[in-house]
Amino acid sequence: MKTSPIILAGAAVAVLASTAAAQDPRLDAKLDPVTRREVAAVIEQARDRGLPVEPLVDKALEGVAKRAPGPRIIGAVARLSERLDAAREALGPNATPAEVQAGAEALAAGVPDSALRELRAAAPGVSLAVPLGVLTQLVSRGVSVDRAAATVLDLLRRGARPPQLIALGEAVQEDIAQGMAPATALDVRLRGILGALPQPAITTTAEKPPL
Amino acid sequence: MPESRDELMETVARELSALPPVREEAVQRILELAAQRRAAERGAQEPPAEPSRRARWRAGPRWWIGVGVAATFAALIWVGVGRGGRAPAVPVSTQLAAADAPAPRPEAVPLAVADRIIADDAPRAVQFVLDAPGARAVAVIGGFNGWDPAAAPLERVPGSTVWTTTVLLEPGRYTYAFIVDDSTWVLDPRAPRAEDPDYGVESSVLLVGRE
Repeated sequence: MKTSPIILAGAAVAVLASTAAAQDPRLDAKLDPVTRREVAAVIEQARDRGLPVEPLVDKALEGVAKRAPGPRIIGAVARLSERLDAAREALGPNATPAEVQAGAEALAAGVPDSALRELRAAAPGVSLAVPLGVLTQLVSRGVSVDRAAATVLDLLRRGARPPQLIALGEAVQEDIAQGMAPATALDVRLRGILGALPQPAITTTAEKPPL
Repeated sequence: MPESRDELMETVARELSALPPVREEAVQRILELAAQRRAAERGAQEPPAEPSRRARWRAGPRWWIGVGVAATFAALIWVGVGRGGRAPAVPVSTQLAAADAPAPRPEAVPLAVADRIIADDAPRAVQFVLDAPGARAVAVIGGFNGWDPAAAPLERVPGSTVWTTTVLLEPGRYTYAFIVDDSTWVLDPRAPRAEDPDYGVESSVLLVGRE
């Protein structure tokens, strides 16, 4: 069977276009050839899976800025790609790139994907970028994962808005910096915000009345 | 009903005069955008072929539209500027109200500035500040600018050792650092730090989302 030269040429163009699409001019100028090729492959696979690729480019550029060796950059980009995949899986196919990225950072901080699913279920029409960022920040400052996740989930169910969540995170952070225990700081600052919010409006499955 | 109209106008005038001071250029920008939007809406509306009840209604005195527009702008300005001005000091780099941000280019966001002032996902103007005695150049790098020192150079405040710049950021969590004299990695002394298991170099952390 003879293969048409036109088909071969088309296939070659498609391969070249795919490779070019995976490459980013910002990476071309800053990565060595081997690292650039490996990172481009990870980015291409991520794009094929519908993941946001900008965080991957940023991760590679962060490695350059921090003068990390090539293999370390490749590993960091690959791990982030896996976390982005897991975050998108937990947050749903309609999650925005900012949410997926924030979810990936939360996963990196030790937040379980089940917490991401609960947050999405609690606020399906609300951007979770800030809530996930605050959750990540609380965990990174020493608040237990379970406590931080339950707190952010409760606040979302009460309709807390991003500025309120950020104010809580900042206040807790300041208290911890002053020497307060993380759990105590969260308890104290939570009292300040709960008074301004209504009771949770969403019932859990177990609380739903029988049909 | 000229008397009741005057009373209402006086009430609105009193409320407006009681508002906190605002930046004149921000108000001017909002009014210009509103004028553009109204002109576009007028252009899209076809006048009725013959005088109808609706046409007579539209041709009648519409003083209350002006009152409504003024009150809406006043509320937006109060939410976007007044509250931002009274917000407590942010421990990280200062986040400013969107109305204080550099005017967007017309082709970028022609009609949505008024909406963005109160939207939770609207970009916020974030001011970065570093006191760097003896520095010849300072830049801020992070996930928001591709870790590129050329993207956000700081300017030295005349007569001081303080350097600053303002960047528009969408709500979320960002890691960043300062680069002094093109070579030295400096963390923000007023911001919390984020561990970095990928590259082993700490960054500063910023949560964006305050109004």
